[in-house]
Amino acid sequence: MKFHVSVVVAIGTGLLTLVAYFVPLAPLQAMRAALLQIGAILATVALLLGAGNLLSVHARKIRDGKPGHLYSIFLVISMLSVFIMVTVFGPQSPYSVWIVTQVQQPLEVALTGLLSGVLLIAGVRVMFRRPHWSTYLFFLAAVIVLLGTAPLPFVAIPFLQGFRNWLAQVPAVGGGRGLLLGIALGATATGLRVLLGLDQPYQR
Amino acid sequence: MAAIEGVLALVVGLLLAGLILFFTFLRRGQWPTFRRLPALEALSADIGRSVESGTRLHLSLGNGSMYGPEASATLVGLAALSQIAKAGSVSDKPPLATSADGAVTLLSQDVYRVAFRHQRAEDRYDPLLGRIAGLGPLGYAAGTMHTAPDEDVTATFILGPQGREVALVAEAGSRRGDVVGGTLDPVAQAVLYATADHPLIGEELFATGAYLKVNRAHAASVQAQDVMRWVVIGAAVALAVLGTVGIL
Amino acid sequence: MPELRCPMCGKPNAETDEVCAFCQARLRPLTAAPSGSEPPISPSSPAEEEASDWLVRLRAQGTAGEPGGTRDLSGEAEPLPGPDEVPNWLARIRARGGEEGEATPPAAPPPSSEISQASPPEIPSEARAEQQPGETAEPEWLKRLRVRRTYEQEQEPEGSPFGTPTSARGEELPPDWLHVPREEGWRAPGLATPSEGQTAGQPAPGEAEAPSGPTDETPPARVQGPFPGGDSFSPSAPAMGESAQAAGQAGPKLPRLSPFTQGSEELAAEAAEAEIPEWLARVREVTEPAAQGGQPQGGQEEEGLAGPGLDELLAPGVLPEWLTATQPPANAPQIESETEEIEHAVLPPWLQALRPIEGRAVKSEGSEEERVETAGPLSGLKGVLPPISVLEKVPHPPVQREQLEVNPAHAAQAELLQRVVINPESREVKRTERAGRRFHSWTLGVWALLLVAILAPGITQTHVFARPTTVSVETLKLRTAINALPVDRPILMAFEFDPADAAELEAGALAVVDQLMGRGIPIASLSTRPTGPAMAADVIARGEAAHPDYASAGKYLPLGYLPGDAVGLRAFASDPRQASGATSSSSAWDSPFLKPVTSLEGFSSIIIVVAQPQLFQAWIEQVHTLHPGVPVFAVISAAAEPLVRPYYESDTPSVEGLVVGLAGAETYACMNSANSATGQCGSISPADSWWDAFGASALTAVLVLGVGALGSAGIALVKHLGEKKRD
Repeated sequence: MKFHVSVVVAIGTGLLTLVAYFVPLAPLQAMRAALLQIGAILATVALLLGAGNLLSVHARKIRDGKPGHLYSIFLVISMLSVFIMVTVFGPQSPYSVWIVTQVQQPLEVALTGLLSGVLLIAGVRVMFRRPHWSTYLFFLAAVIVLLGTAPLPFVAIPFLQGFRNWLAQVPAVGGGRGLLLGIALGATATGLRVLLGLDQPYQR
Repeated sequence: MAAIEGVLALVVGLLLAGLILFFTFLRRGQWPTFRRLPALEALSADIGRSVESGTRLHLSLGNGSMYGPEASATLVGLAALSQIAKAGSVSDKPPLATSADGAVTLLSQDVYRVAFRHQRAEDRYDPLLGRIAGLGPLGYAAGTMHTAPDEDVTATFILGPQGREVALVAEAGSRRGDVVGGTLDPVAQAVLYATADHPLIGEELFATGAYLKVNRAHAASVQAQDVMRWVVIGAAVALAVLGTVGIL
Repeated sequence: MPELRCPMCGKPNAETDEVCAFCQARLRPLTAAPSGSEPPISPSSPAEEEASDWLVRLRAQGTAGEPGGTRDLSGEAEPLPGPDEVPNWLARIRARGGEEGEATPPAAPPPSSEISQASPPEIPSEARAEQQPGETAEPEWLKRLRVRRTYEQEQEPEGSPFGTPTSARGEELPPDWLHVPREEGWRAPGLATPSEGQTAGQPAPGEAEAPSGPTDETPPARVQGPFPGGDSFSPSAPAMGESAQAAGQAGPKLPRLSPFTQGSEELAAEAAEAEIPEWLARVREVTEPAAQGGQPQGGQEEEGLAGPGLDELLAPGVLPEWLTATQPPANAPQIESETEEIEHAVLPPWLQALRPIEGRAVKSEGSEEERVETAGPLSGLKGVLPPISVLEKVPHPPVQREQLEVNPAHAAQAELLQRVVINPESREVKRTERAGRRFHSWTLGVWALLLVAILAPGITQTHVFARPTTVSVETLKLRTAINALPVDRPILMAFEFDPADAAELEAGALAVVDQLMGRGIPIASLSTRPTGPAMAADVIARGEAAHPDYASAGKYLPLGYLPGDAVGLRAFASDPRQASGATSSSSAWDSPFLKPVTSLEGFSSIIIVVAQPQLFQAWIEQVHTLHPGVPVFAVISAAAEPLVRPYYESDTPSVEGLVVGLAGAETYACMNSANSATGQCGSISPADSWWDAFGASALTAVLVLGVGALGSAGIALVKHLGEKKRD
């Protein structure tokens, strides 16, 4: 376990923020608030850095003439134009909103539609690839929820909706809670490893 | 009630921390034996196969950030990246790591830098091995869909926070090779069950570091989680019984 | 106890030892006669007997430090006498010589026999008897010498190969030639003669060349290695290189020998006074010109060297066998080769194919037989590497490339390797797509079905799918709670969804916004998603379209984008103004609706519009825990319901009302526009236009999944039956 300035800063900051959650002392609360503000600012800067990284990746793709560099040209042009427009007019100007609602939203909705088709085909494929009882149980649950959520033509089957509600609120919630408990333990252990300096994603 | 919850949270945290320290330092010489996880075995095999065949691996770190609850999954992905990068740094085509957050991208680049330095291959380090594929969940999915065919990827590892759009990533990856996937969102886990070759269900994602032998602390975490899981089960059963009986 | 001097280190060892206790070298060569036996000494002539006797006696004599003992190689030097002083040993000899002169003549010498290396020859009993009186301090060699002298006096040998015995007085000293190194050109009988091309000064094979000593024009003399077992004889005896002449007699000056004679110049001078035998003098006269001229010794000179005296020396039986032996005696034990018992390894065919056909190394002479070293410290040992001159004769095996045995498989692989190396294009391996991952035709059918199901209701304008008629409790609670909110306090509405989720969530968000606007409650929007402000603006704009007075009142308060996810949320919960002040427009917080708001408690409630359960959890964990008094409501997607519902159904619910998915939005919108008298829904909600498409696509998905399940089950069943039949 190497100790470095970054380790000390990370551990100290994490412990301070954690302790401030439990100890209602004014100075601690103030320090925690300050740290949280710093974190929020860093997140904004990271967003800008991410945009810069995206630009550099596609710029290299264009420069090297790799397959698909034509799409990279469109990406770079659109990215820069939207950036300029939003910077000039503001994020809530009609122009910015128009770009989001008329360009980005349809694209993402189309992708979501593509996602639904992919999921359907994957669901069929998994039954051929893994003909196991758990797969057929998976299929059965999907069918019941679909039938219970979507409207049925010409006829309404009341017990189906009730069964779907029970399935979604009892077994699914129970299983989901179990998953979430395990995930919470794992997330807590991961965070504790960082707090204790046993895991250093920032320095190796 | 909030005070009790706070105390309980503190007790659980301290207990977990103590167990992790115990297993890390006092059982340092013993590496525990874990049950077979076909997904992580396939991950290790794919790493070796890609190095030998001179193809590329793609590690999808997801669209999470380092500021939310999904940061834990991101950390798991970065830990796995450290091992994958070390193994793949000697390859003709080092592995790629994609994400949707700037901070995560910076961390992945740092992991690459350390891995290449560890392998005495600093001259081959390319910072763009850690890159952003797209901003936002679907933007990331759209950008990642092209990574597999464009970069000659033969295995895709999805180790990070993602939503149901992970189906697009997994489908694109499955056309080129194996897909090993794990995430935190239960909906995404269901999606991965249908689309990935080797899905990681539940907290199996957090065992990745231990199976890849990142360090002893990862194995200690898994052991501590096992202990705490039984504690939670016992507490839940006891409270349910007490509640049913009417005491609570 | 008589001691055996080690030929390697020169240290004394016990007579019966086989190996040296200090350096583990053999004390006796391997070709020695069987131990325990004393081969009889059998000189063929009296002269030979006499020669063997004195040599045997000499070998058995002398240890370091013993008075009168010969100088040894251990480095312990006796104090050298001065030029005018008489050495102790000489004085002692003179003294004893006077005594022996009165002694009785010795008995006949024992029969001649081979001199045993294992044990010294026995001293004649008479001679031994003579030596007994006053013998305690007298060295063995001296005793034997005395005996020999006595014998010689009786025999009055003529032409003795050893010449006239000399001593300081001319009588008692051992032959000086014993103390004088063999000079250049003179070889002991039996040793290899200088080969052709070997110039003077080069050591003969088997001989060790002494390192050069004091600078001299004369080449260094060759020193014969210490005789194994010849403990009594030390080549480092004085006067190596210096002629041992009797006092007053000057002889030819011999070339100086160095290694063991360093510092022995004084003794050499002493010994030079002794008389040298005639035969040796003749030898020197013959060899000295040759040595100075640097010419190799020819056969004639060898003949000259092998003068009458040498002939006698070389006669069989004169010198001990170990001096003359070049090969192990016939009866010497032969060490059987162990290699005959070892099976030769069988080479695999591929290895045999790699061996060159021609290229056997030339075997050196005698390599098949166990070559026995005959000279030097390794004399008697087998398997010793031959000298460099012999090794140089070994030719290098020729490399026959074209003679390799290559089978067709090897040739094909070699060709493949060559092709890969030469042609870079051949290195590219075309990868085929994985089996089962190609675009199958049945997937096209699925896509087609889905497309038809989605488009058909819109194209045909049919409404066959029933609208939801029941309102869930959680939806009703939300509506009731909003109806009870004060109108002077703003409500915080979080738009935490992406454009992709807008289709499902916008309907519910619109319905809630519609109710809020209808009541005139100010709405402050916030989002932790980058596209959230835009989505919020779109929803608000559509709501304001239905409520124009709301827009003019300026009750929409956009707070913009909140970076940092959970960290930003916690910061906002701690200090909303500071956390969002940088991103929101300057007029928002200055609005009269937000001016009194200094913390989250200033908001009447929080409504979260979210598709992902994690984001909902973040709001609950970071915001609601800090301000539990502010009620939270949620508009969620159907997929998030299982994970959000526990927050609603707990004893201390964190969320007090829910609108779930399209169905919830449909019912909420219906309630907004319902006719209180008839209970019929009023305006059509946006969800209504998607209801039939939603229903049709869901049913198509169920159909496709069902067909897939039946197909896979049928295939599995057929396979199972087939295996059963096979079994």
